[in-house]
Amino acid sequence: MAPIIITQSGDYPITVPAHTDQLVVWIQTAASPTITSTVTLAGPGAHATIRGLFLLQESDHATAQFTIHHTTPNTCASFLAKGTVRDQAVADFTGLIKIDEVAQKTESFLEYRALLLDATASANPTPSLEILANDVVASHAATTAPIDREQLFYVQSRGIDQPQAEALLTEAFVREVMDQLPAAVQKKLSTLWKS
Amino acid sequence: MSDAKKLSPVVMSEYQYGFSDPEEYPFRLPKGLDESVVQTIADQKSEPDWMRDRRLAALIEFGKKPLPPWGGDLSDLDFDAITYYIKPGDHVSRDWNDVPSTIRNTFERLGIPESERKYLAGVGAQYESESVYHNLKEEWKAQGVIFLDSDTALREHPEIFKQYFGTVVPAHDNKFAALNTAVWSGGTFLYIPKGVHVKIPLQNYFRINAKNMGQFERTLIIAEEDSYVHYIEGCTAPSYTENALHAAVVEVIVKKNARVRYTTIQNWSSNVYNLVTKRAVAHAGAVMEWVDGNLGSKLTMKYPSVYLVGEGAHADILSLALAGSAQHQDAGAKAVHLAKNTTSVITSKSVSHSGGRTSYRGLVEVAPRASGCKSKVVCDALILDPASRSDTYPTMKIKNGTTVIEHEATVSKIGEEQLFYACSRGIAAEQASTMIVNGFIEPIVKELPMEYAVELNRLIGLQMEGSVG
Repeated sequence: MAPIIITQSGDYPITVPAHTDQLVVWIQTAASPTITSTVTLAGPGAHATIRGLFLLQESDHATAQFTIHHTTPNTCASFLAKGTVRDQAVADFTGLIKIDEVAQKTESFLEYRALLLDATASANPTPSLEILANDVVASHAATTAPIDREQLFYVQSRGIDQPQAEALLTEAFVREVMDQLPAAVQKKLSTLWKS
Repeated sequence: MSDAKKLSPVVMSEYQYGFSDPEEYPFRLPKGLDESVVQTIADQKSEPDWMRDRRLAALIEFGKKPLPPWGGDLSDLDFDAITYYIKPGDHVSRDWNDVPSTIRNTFERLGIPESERKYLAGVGAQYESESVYHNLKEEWKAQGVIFLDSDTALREHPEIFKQYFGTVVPAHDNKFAALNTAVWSGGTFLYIPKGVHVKIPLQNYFRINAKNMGQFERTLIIAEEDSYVHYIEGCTAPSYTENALHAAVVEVIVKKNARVRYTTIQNWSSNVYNLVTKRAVAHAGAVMEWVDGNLGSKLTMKYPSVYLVGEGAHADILSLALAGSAQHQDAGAKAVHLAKNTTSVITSKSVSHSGGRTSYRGLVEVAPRASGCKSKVVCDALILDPASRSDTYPTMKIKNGTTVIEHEATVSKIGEEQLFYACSRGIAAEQASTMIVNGFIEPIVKELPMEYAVELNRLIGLQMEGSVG
């Protein structure tokens, strides 16, 4: 199935049928402050890969709400979102993995990482799990942190000044998501990134 | 056979502490709650006017507050079917021989050996709403440690009591805190003077004995600067068919550079609503540790919290939940970072089986000016059969960009590879599962006093019987 790319605010219900791989990419900036999506894995062998990027600054207040709903056995979902929050921007995130009682043999993973680039920036991630089946592997991880001081020291000790070192580390942080995306999406993102 | 097997008839057939003494109480109020009930409680205890006023004000708050819209199902909870005050004995005993024989029998039935009772010198055993037995070690007395039931403390140390009562958990905090403030009775009061280290953990046993009797104890712990104390409460309750309510409030004040550890093992019988507000305030450099084990009850809603108000304060919260048939453990933890360079670690382990449900509900909050804070939250859940359920609802409100927050949660069943490994070494599947579950909760069990750890491992061995095909 063709990738679904979300770059604007809205509610996006997505159903992944049996034996289908679906890539969902969402990009959150000042232009897309409210993104809501429910991804339903509706048939055996349904597989969803969800990748998100958020670039927030100034007085941006962004909300992303995702529900990954496994309704049948043998489904799989992987969710990774990374982004930066600058100035007084606020990143709100809710990510729920829901596995129904019948949806045995399911694997689902959600990861959310926010890089806070100013002391006034804030992030409020709420990753949740509702697991009603037992033969499953479900997990989530969320972090919010400023640039790691040791990494910064490492780069600076190689003769790169602080602003440049920070820019380098910030780019490397979001590149993990960028690199996993199709070339066309990457191209679009890099123009966004430069502005 | 294994130890677990040999012990199982002793450990639990239905509910091992599910016996009850004949109810002989000098005084008990009729069921239900209104102003006269609160007045009668205050009269019975001959309390000062300020406390009576606090109770009456809290009763009004209780009427105004709604039940929490989140968490477990409280629709079967009938506030009019509960007795709010029972007075068990005429006075608080200091000497073991003065303890009424029915109450001593209760301890006998709990299986505390004679030698251990002596070892546990300083046990304040709460039977019903008031403590009946207090034997405070002379050396602590000399150091100025006050370890009393809260009613006696209010009489004997009214200044300290008034200064701190309700400062950490005010009556208007939530519906059950208001209820507790209105009708509280018993509980523990612990005051540790500056620089005093209490080396032996202080323990308190208590149990609900009268049918439908609510237990509303109020615990207040004050640790002055540079002091240390470890307080342990273990609860067992006889099983009854009608719903019982346990709505306690625990307030802990940890002053500069002091350290308090508060360990709870809750094993209420499966008809009890366990709705407890536990909160601590940690000042600069202080360390507050909650170790919270929830094994029994019909529904538990309990989120031990720490407000980190002084620079460099640290919170450590370990939470363990075990939910079996018709049980819901809605447990978790809260760390609120209000000062610079404060740190917190929350570790939660839960096991659900036989249709039980465990939920982790937590909060990590960092205030805008609290820079350099760090917090780590780890929640692991095991689901042992298809009928059981597990949820994770962590909330993070990070308003300062210099904060480092890590959160991770996993939910799974017992790993087939782990099971295969153990089985291939000749261990039966059931025993192997028990072993794996005990290993899973090990990080918390190892922090418990030995007698609790042993009991917990036995309990899991028993509950696991027949759960693996």
